[in-house]
Amino acid sequence: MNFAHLVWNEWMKVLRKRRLHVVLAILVVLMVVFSYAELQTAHVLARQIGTSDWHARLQQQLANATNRLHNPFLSDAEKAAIQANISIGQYELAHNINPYAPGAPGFMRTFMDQGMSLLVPLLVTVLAADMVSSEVSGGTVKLLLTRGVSRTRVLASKLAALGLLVALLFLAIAVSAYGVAGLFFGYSGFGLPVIIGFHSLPNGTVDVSHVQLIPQWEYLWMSYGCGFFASLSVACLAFMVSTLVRSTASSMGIMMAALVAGALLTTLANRWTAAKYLPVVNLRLSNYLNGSPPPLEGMTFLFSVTVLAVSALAAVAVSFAVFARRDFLG
Amino acid sequence: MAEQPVLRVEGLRKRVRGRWLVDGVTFDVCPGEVFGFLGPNGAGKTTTIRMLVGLVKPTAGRVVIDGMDLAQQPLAALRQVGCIVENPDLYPYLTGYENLLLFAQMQGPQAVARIDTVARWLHLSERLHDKVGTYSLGMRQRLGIAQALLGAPKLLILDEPSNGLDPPGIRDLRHFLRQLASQGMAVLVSSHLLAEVELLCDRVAFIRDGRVVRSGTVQALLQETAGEVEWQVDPLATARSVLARFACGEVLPGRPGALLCPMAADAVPAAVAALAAAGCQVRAVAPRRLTLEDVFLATTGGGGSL
Repeated sequence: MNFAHLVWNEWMKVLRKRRLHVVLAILVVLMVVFSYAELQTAHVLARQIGTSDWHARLQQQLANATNRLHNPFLSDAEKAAIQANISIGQYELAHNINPYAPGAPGFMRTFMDQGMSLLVPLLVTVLAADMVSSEVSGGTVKLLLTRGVSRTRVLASKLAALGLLVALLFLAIAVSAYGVAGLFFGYSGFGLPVIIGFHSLPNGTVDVSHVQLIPQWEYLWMSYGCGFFASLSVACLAFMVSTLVRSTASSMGIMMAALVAGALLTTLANRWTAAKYLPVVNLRLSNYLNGSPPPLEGMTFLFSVTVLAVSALAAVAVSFAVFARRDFLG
Repeated sequence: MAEQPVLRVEGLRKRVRGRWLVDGVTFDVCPGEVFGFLGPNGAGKTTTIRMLVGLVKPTAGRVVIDGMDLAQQPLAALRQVGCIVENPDLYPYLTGYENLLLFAQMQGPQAVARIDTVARWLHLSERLHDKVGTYSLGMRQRLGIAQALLGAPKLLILDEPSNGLDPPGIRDLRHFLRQLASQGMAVLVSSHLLAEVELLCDRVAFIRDGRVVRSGTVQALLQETAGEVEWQVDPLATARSVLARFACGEVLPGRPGALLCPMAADAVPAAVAALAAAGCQVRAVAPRRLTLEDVFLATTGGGGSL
């Protein structure tokens, strides 16, 4: 009974559960809906502006953003966000980079940048929330823990399988986004330039000293990597909740409430800066790449990575400590 | 008992939130015997079994399996045990074979090699590649037993194994378990169905409110327990006063020409002799067949049913 066998066992269970199949089906449906919506948006905009020329569209957006800057109700941070967008737009105009260039790779990029705020962590939660609780509620934990394999190894094999599962989810996101969006926008565009390195400062100005152009495929690697890292952290938290509670429904409920609360905190309560220590507001790591200001003041890439790593490790430690001592009284 | 017991349970106790679920359970199970662990639902059978397989930590007491203390060498001790705790819970979304493979892999290659043999023993081969979700409860019970046998255990623990089996299934299971015992395996069976256990077990322990209230071989328990004996005897009045000396209750008139006397089976020869000495003519003595249920009721003073 070496460890690889245990992980293989867990992997087999995960693959055969209906849960995974449902999540994959949801992904494909979402890709179709979002692709169609994006296509429609482009059509409507083209009709309103009177031309499908991207220069015109970008200029319209820039004018719009500049107007919003004069809104007296904006905080400095919000002004910085708008300022950053304007700078990026101007840079794109100056260097003749079409930010709306259609193509499946561009869609993949938007999906991950936006999806990490809620959608992707929710899917991760759906997959992770029943890793342990399903064994308890299904009664199979009684067999799993009486086969002469230590509880620590059993739990470790589950954690390893969960890591693989998150990787599978990201592969599925990439493949389904590329495959489905390609039907709408074509499959080319990995080589298109993407600007990174804008750094918006809390006082509302934008630091352009680190701006650089990279090909889109490189950006995709970075943003999917960031998403994967943040998702692993979410998975560890969900895994902990799953070892603490008995039923999958409650473990999923707790995690979803936490994720939605995190998403709300960043938009509604952005003056409560202590919230930056919560892992759920640190999930959008790729924002640090594309120049959006941090959701709360004082957050940097390194800060967010640290918060996510520390909370994941703490969650794993709690899971193992609780699981090793727990009485399974039925 | 000359043999070294495979399972030794000493003074096992478990306290949960101020309540003693198990409060002093002691018994041994030897190789080659089927041991019945009996009691009403809620008496502490399942909690005890969960402690035997390491799912619950005892508050006090010791479990020794094949000479290994469960608290000190839990993994080595558990490798000698196959078990079903409560229901035969398996993964419904996997096939029977995949379920067996999963648990066999946790126990090593020799367990994997036994899958086909064990499946054949339990008549599972035909539907082994169907999903367990489509199995009947009886089939799941058999699959659970197959799973428990994969590791060629020295001790087999089955919690309420006859749940969900039809009468022929119960009979097959009984033969099967007796056969395992005859090959030297120690089998611990818990049940609340006494009639069925009586045919299966060599020894039993009764548990009630977390304590073992009585234990012994099935035969001895039946012998020791007073049952009713019907005496067809003349004259009735004399016989009644003679029998009263041997009775452990009131001697009552039975059918015409007969008396019903509650007494131990052991006491019958002495009573016959006494009646003869008193000049009574004994035409027939018919002990009513005792069951373990009578033993249990006598032990617990008739309080509470099973």
